[in-house]
Amino acid sequence: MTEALLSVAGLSVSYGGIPVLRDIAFDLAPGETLAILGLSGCGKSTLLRALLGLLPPSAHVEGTARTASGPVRLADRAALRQRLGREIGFVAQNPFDACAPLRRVRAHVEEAWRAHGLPPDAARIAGLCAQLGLDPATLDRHPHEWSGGMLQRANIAAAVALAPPVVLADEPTSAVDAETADAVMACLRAGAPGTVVVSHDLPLVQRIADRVLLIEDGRIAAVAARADLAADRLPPALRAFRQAGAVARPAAPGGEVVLAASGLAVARGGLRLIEGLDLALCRGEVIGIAGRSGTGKSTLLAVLAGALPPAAGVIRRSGALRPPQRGEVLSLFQDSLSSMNRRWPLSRIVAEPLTVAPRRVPGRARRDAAVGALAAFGLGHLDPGLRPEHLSFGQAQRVTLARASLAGPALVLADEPTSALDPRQKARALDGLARLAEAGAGIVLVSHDRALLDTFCHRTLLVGWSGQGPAPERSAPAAPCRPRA
Amino acid sequence: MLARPRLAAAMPARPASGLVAGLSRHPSGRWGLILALTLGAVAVAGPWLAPHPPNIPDYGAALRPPGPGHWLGTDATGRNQLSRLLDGARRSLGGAALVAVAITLIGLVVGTLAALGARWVDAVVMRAVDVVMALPGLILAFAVIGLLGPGYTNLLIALIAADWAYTARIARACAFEAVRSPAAIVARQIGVPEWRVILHHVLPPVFWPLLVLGTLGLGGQIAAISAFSFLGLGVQVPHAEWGAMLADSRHLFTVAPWLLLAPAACILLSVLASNLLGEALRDLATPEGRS
Repeated sequence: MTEALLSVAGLSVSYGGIPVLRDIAFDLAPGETLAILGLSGCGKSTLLRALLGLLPPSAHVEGTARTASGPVRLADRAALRQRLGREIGFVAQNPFDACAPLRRVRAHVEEAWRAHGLPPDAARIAGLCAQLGLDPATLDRHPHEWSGGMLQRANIAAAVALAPPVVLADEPTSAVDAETADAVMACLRAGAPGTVVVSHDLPLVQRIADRVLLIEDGRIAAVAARADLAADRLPPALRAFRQAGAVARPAAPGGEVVLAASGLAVARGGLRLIEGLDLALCRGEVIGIAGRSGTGKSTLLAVLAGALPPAAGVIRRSGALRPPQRGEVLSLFQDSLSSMNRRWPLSRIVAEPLTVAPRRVPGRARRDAAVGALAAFGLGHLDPGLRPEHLSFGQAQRVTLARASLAGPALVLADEPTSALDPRQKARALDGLARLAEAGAGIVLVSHDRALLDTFCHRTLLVGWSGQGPAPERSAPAAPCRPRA
Repeated sequence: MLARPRLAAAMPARPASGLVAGLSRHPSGRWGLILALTLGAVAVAGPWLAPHPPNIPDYGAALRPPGPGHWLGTDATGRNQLSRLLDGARRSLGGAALVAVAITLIGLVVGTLAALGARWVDAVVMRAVDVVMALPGLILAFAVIGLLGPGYTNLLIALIAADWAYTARIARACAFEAVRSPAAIVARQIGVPEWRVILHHVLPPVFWPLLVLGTLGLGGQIAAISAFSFLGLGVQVPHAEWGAMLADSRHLFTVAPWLLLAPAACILLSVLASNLLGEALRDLATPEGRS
């Protein structure tokens, strides 16, 4: 058997006696892509940080790792860091966070050498650019001038600059859109002989991984080889992981058309982003909007919300040409915490719709309604006097859904409401969204996640496919909407 | 990773989130609060606490060192130093508080109106702010005093005129963000009337930074009132004010150092209280900081 590129044995991490990771062991074979899969908070990022020697001093680390130059105790953070770059490369989750915004991207790549006191190797950089599909001229631009996908490639170039045998990557594609993600993953695998990727995205892992470790509660719950990753052969633990993220499409829509757009064009800063969009949404229907970053999806939502005028075309709301009425439209945001008043307790946030006529009710009844709505969205265990800062991202999104249920809008505009959530949280949030649809709201759901759109939405529109095409393409409607007269 | 480690379910009880409770738990806030309350009480009760009339000379008792009867000694005209400090606290601290409250309120109103108003309102107000900020504060204050003439009231007006633009600029930036925040957008979509959106979702995120700024600035205002009085442009004779007391006794330092040290210590303690309190409020300004 060939020598492993990286072997980890007995890795345990605890904070103040509370174990976070227990007895993790694995080997990475040459040419292998190992995926570490788990829900938020399971300890998978801690695992990577332990291998990188980046855990804070308050973390108690045990175990050893063997890299190219021999074994090293994981508690010896200084020795581990000596090996970073040369024997272990690292690609962070968000490429824009990883690059210093005031420095050029070339400086970021050259840092791989400078960190070890070596002169940057221009020929190697040029070779990496060719290999990873980067234009060497663009390296002299600043990070904000780059797209997320390209910048992530530059990050990969920096990670593999000193040709480390192993590259560790923490959700390397979660900050880039779906169309770019596979290209980034291909670059990552091409860059180094062995790759360890942390993710909570099972479909992505199924596409790229040779082997999967599932982490639950700080332990390895399951190991699956590539052959076992096919949907019908998943081991029970992975099957349960997938089930946790399963969502059901809301019941078939029908009834009044709440929103009808025809010949709609959307522009930002004088630039037409979307043209010739026809859209009809009835009560209970969920329409997905997909498309690359920057193609005008969020601008389209602002136009549908009535916050921006359309560049062309007309929007009818419940059949009439008029701006939205009070309480008719409600937006859901990716960062749901920002849509809550941080100084208010949950009961007050959720019951805000009940402070306005015609839904206004007295204070006591408002609080009871808020408690009921929280319970209906699976948050009955929370103290309604809590403030939003104590919520997890998943809980926060469900609080906004509970608020939406009390507002009873005809149209819900959701902008990436689940992109920060792990599969279980995502499934619960989508459950809440389906509940809103069943209560009679028409929903427009913007997402990068094609699998989500395909399984959850009744129809999906693909906007700005090439960024400049004249009319948006459209997938076939799964359940055509039959408006009643 | 975007995981938020603090799970609501794991929180047994909600900590008291009141401002005073937060301040008394905060290490520097506790001392700032005690110091500020003490100084505030002295400033309010000063005239009643004073053992002697502060402004009536007693030439027979001039330049007495600290001792029984005159705990902090007497000045060149035999006036009781402790009484004058107690009487002056009102003008030093009260004046600074008045200036701080005024610039906070003016900043809050002007900045919020600029952020809420039409684009031309914003432009007009902010260019006015630019003009004020282009002049050094000290020069502006001198100019106002030059126009209005020296005196305590005019000094306070001058300090307000020199400082309101900074708070207005910060208030405008905070309000601009808050007006467009998702929380305000959702409230409007729900149908909450605009005045309540402003009251609930715009003013609180504007008010808190201004409160921190105002409290931290309090020390500067105390020092400024003292400095202008020291130069003879503020409080006029025979009234007591800490800075003026410093000015009156500076040539007596070798003979009667207590005359200099006592008001200097009062100014120092006040500035310290304002800094400690401001630092604590900065930590407590967000709900996250309070728990």
